[in-house]
Formats: sequence, structure tokens, C-alpha cells
Amino acid sequence: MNFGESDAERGLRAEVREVLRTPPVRGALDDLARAMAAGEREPDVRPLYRAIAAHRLFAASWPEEYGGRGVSHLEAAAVIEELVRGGMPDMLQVLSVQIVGLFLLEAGSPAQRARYLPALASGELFATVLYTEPEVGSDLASLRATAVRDGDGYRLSGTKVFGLKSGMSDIGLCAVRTGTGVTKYEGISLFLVDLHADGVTRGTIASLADEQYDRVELDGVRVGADALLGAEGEGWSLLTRCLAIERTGLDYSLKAARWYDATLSGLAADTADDALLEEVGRYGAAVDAARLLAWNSISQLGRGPLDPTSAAIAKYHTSETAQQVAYWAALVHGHGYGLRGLAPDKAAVLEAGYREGPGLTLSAGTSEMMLELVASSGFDRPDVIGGAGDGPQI
Amino acid sequence: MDLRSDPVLERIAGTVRDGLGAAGAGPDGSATLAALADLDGFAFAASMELGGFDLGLSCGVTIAVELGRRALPDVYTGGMLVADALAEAADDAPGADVAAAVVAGKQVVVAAGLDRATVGDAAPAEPSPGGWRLPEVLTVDDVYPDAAVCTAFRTGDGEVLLAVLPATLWRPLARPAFPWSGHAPSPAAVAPGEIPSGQVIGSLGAGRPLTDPAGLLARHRVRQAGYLLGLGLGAHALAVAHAAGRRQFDRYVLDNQAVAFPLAKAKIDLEAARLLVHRAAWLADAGGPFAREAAEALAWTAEVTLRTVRTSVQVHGARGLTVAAPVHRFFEVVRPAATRLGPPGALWRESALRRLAEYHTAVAERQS
Ligand SMILES: Cc1cc2nc3c(=O)[nH]c(=O)nc-3n(C[C@H](O)[C@H](O)[C@H](O)COP(=O)(O)OP(=O)(O)OC[C@H]3O[C@@H](n4cnc5c(N)ncnc54)[C@H](O)[C@@H]3O)c2cc1C
Repeated sequence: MNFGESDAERGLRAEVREVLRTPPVRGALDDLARAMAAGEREPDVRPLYRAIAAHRLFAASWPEEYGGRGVSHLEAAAVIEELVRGGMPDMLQVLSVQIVGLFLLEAGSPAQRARYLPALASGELFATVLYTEPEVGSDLASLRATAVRDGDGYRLSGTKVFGLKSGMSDIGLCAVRTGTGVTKYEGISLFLVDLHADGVTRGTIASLADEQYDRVELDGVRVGADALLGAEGEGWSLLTRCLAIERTGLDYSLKAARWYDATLSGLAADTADDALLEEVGRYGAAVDAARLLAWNSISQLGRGPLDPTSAAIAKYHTSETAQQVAYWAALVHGHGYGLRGLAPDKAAVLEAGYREGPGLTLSAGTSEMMLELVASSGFDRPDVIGGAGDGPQI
Repeated sequence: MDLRSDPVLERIAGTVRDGLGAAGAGPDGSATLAALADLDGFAFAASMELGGFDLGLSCGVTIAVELGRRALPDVYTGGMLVADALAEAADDAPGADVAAAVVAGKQVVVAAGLDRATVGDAAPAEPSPGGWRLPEVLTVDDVYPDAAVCTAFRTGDGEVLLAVLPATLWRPLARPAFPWSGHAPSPAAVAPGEIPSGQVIGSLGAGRPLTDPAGLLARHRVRQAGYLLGLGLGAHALAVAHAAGRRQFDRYVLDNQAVAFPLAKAKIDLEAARLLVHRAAWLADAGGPFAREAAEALAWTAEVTLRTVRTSVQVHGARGLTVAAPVHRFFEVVRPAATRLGPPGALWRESALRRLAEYHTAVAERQS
């Protein structure tokens, strides 16, 4: 294990800080801050993303031919950490690059990669994930949306809900049923759908959080055979791999750190009582552990498929911790976050965090599903130091 | 950060695990001492000056984890505290003989007094003509018949000193607290009487949190956290094995979410503990500051392991309370181990003071 920073990571972090100071990026960040101060809950982040993408920092781990820099997943994670710390809202980047893009990179055909990846890396195209349906949540394999053959292509129909950023996105990674098999896990296929195509209707579903949910109706949407990802009917194994990629926990760990720091900004050692100090320590360690668990799963990326148990552990701890920190902050800082003289911008961060908190332990797999995954893996990871080994013989 | 596990440490863990697996755990730690000594286990993490291999705190933690995993008596961490304090000592320095015997696997040392002196409000020791007189009895873990004691005590001017007391300089006052099971290392009170000044081997500094100039306390905390981590992992593995084999209501007990989820949660908390403990050790080995990380690794692991052991006993049903089920040992051993270096609450408060100072300093630096 190496808990330090490599020279390459350090160099990239310094470069990101430099890029954040360049006029186009600074300007886009300022525009964003103004929009949020004016009460806009979900301002358009695309101009900011494009300004950052111009430096090939948006999808840094991708090969150069696809608009990346070919750096390791760990170095790319350092870039993202630094961008988020510098004020970049990451949701659309997570969806477009860290989930859909990475999935395409792993499972897409050469033609699909060539068509989409450079455009995703440059911020020309954005992508979203269309899995959940009104009747289908945790039990995703029961999905009902369909794709039926239509000449040399398919027609997709169904309703997808609770996606994020579909309104700002151009393509959707969509799970549908192309057939039935002995079990519900057979006959599932994945498609890349053009969200500007005929038959696609997008709407929003208001939610507690600043980010609104989307509803995407697919009404006989025509796609070519080249929109199919992997083999027809064999999408489930691809899906489980993709779901693990969603669960490195990096994004949640960054939220936990941001909300924890905002909470601390209003606290002083000499006015905190013993009970509060204990919580400062305990939550601080949980936030640190969140970062370590996220980096632990990222350390495995690119060296074979991400171990789903490791990812589930990271997802569970990072999201639960971020949520708990947001709730804790509400109690510590009291009514209107005014008990201890928190600066208004920090209070706004914590208030938004409180409303975002409940979604963290549901999105990308609920906490209960993560516990299921950890439990069903048999708990055993003899491969790591401190893993279960063969148990104590005493 | 690249957190894939280190193959060298993995190999050491495997070797120690195998070696200890062959040792029958006795009430006094003799078998454990012999098994670890056989492997040269005491030399791995000790300094070259003392005849060790200098493999660092990460290696020391790895050994402590393996002891905990089987709830073996902790014959290790106290000796390593002495070895750390005397890492660069000359052969004739006070305590150097004890340190050399520790590294050779011939001397068990148990640590004492670190809870009261490092995070509590221990009364200062009285100066006496030959050294100091401790105002109170100490509690040590009764793991070995002729163990030396490494004790911390506070002096009148607020400094906390470490002294090593060979078996001839202390005597037990109380019987083991768990006589019924007959083989658990358990706390005993000892009256050290006088601490000769020649037995003082190091300083943990002064103030609150203690300045700990040589990092002796922080290193000891990380090893202790490793031992606790092992206890948590061991109890957890027993609980999973039991629940996966026991049938009620025509299904395995583990197939109920009410059983599986607390175990899954414990697994997650232990995985976090593993990373916190190894991070603190890695920072120490890399020469960076690690006092806060050490305190947090210990506090986190103590709390998580207590919870895990409780869950693991519950999952065993009534069997878990009997001598026949190995999990009962973890229940006994974890209680003294979780508080030996101070209660987690005190460690969290210490970490909070460090965190608030770090946070406000960083903000001030950014603004200037
Ligand atoms: C912020 C946010 C963003 C999201 N983004 C997307 C997106 O981009 N794309 C997309 O497709 N979807 C998205 N989702 C939807 C998300 O994937 C679903 O919410 C999730 O899969 C759970 O489904 P559900 O909400 O229908 O809950 P249900 O599956 O109905 O579950 C309800 C409750 O029961 C529990 N439960 C269900 N089954 C079990 C079981 N077997 N054992 C124990 N407990 C169980 C669940 O954990 C949950 O607490 C998002 C959700 C949120 C909150």
C-alpha cells in the first residue's frame, strides 16, 4: 500500500489548480456561483465543463486518441478530487465520463468508442443513465422497457424515471428487455439512445435535492444495430460490471469531505464541549475512511474488473458517511444554521447537503443492496492483509 | 495513493498466521511467545541496532493483527514499545538488556498506566531518593508469568515518562477477572512500588495532547489498533462461519437479513479500520506526522471491534457464551484491549483538537 502521492498525482493536482485560475474556467465558475446565489438550483454546468475539457482534464484516464491523457485511474481520480475541491459540481461529469464513458471504454465496440468517447471527453456530448422504471428499482433485472427488432435496427419503448441530468444530456445508456429466458437475468440488452431522437419525451420530477429527477418516455424510438452494447440479450453481466464502476465512492467521499469542512468552519476548540469534540473526531475519521475506501476501489480499476464487494463496501460507507455528516451539521449548527455564526455560503452548502443526503444512500444501489452484496459474497477476502483469511483456528 | 496490498506484508502475515496457527493458546501466553519467537517475529519490526530487521511499523501492525485474529494473548505490543524507545540505544543504556531480550523473543513486556497518563488525569508520581513513587496501583494484562511491565507515569512538571520494570520490581495484587474460562488473558492490579530512575527509557512529552516527541505513544497506539483489528476480524469470521452452518426455520441463519446485515456492516467498518490502521503505520514509516491518524485508528478500531464482537456473540446464540465456542474468548479479550490506551472518547477529543487546529491553520494560510 502507498498512502502517499505519486509525483504524477502531485503534478496533475498542481496543473488542475493552475487551470482553475485560467480566465475561461474562472469565468465559468463565477457564472455558476452567481446563478446559484440567485437561487437557481440546477445551473447549466456545460460551459464550465467545456472550459476544463479543453485542457484534456475531463477524462484524463482515457487514451489520447479518445481525448484523454492516458494517465492511470488513480491519477485521474486525483484530477477529479482537485476539480471538485476547486468548485466543480461533478454530477454530469460522473454520469458522462465516470459511468457511461468508462463503460463504453470497457465494453463498447471500436466504432462506438471512436464515435462517442472523444465527444464525451471534450464536453461536446453528455450522457445519462436510464435504468430505473416506475415499477422497477432495486430489482433491476425485472425491467419492462423493451427493444424490438425493426429491420436492421430496433425500436425502444418504455418509461425510465429518477435519472439525473437527462435534460442536459445527449445520449442515454438504456437497459431494456429484448427477449425472455429461463431467468429474468436473460434477455436484457443495453443500448445507447440519442435523447434528441423522435419518440423521446423528457420531463422533470421535482425532488427535495437541488438536482431534479428526470422522466424519459421512449415511444418506439428507432435506433440502429450499432446502438447495441455487447451482445443482444446478454446485458446483465455487462450491467453488473458497470454498476460496480458507479460505486467507487469517489463522488460521495468528496461530498462527505466538503460538508465536514463546512461544518468545521463554524466551530472553535475553545467553545466546543466534550460531546461535540468527540463527534468532530469520530466524523472526521469516518470522512477520512470514506476517502480511503474510495481510493481502495479505484486502486483496483484498470487491473481487471472491479471487485463488486469492494465497490459495495466503498459505496455503502462513503454515502452513509456523507449523509450522516449532513444531518450532524444540521444539529450542530442549529436552527437556520445560525447557532454558531456559520458564514452564509457554508450554511448554503450544508442546507443543500441536508436535502441531497437522502438520495445518496439510494442512488447507484441502495445501502440495503450494498449490504446484500457484501453478505452474499460470503464476507471472505483472503487476498488482502486483514482480510478474513481462513478464520481463526483456536 | 495506491492501496493495493503489499505483497511483502502479505507474505509476512501468512507466515505469522501459519506459525501462530500451530501454537496452542495458553492462559499465560507461553505458547504464543514461543511460536512468534520461532519465526523471529519479534525481530521483524525492531531496529537493526537491537538486532531487528527494521521492517517498520506496517510490519509490526501486521503481526499484531495476526495475534488478535486468534484472540491470542498480546505478548507483542508492550515489547515493541520498549524496542521503539530504545531503538538507537547503546548496549549499556538503561533497559537495553530488556529491549534486546524482547527482540530475541525471550522477554514479554506488558504495557501499563498508558490510559491514565496519556489521556486521563493521573496524579503525578512523587519524587523519591532513587526515582519516583507511583501514587496508585497499575492495571496490566496478565499474559505471561515473568513479564516485565512498561509503565507510563506523569511527573510533577507534567512530563510523561516511560519506565521498564523487570518482574522483580513489581508484584500482582489481584486474581484474573475471568477465572471461569481458565484461559483468557485478564487484567490484574500490580503494585510497582518504587520506579528507580535507572529504569526510565523514554519520554512521551507533556501537554494535552501529549507532544510525544519520538512518536512512541502514536506508534504504540497503531500497534494496539492492529491487535484490535485482528480481534474484530477473528470474531467476525467465527460468526460468519457459525451462521453459515447453523439452520433454523429450515434455512441457514445467515440467510436472514437481520443476521447478515449487521455482519455486513461490521465487515465494512472493519475494512475502514484496516485502511485507517495501515495509513497511520504507513505515515509513520514514511516519516510524516501521524499523531492524529494514530489516535483515530485506535479509537475507530476499538469502537468497531467492540460492536463486532458483540454482534458476533449474538449471532452464535447461547453457544457464544460458553467455553465451547471460541468467540467467547474475543468477548473477554476485547474489553481490556479496547481501553488499555485510554477510552475511545478521550482519543476522539484529542483528534478533534488536532483537526480543528489543522483546519483553521489551513484556512488562515489560504487567506494570507
Ligand atoms: C439521487 C438519485 C439519483 C438517481 N439516479 C439514477 C440514474 O441516473 N439512473 C437511474 O436509472 N436511476 C437513478 N436513480 C434511481 C435508483 O437507482 C433507485 O432509486 C434505486 O435503484 C432503488 O429503487 P427504488 O427507489 O425504486 O426503491 P425500491 O427498490 O422500491 O426499494 C425501496 C426500499 O426497499 C429496500 N429494498 C428493496 N429490496 C430490498 C431487499 N431485497 N432487501 C432489503 N431491502 C430492500 C430498498 O433498499 C429501499 O430502501 C437515482 C436515485 C436517486 C435517489
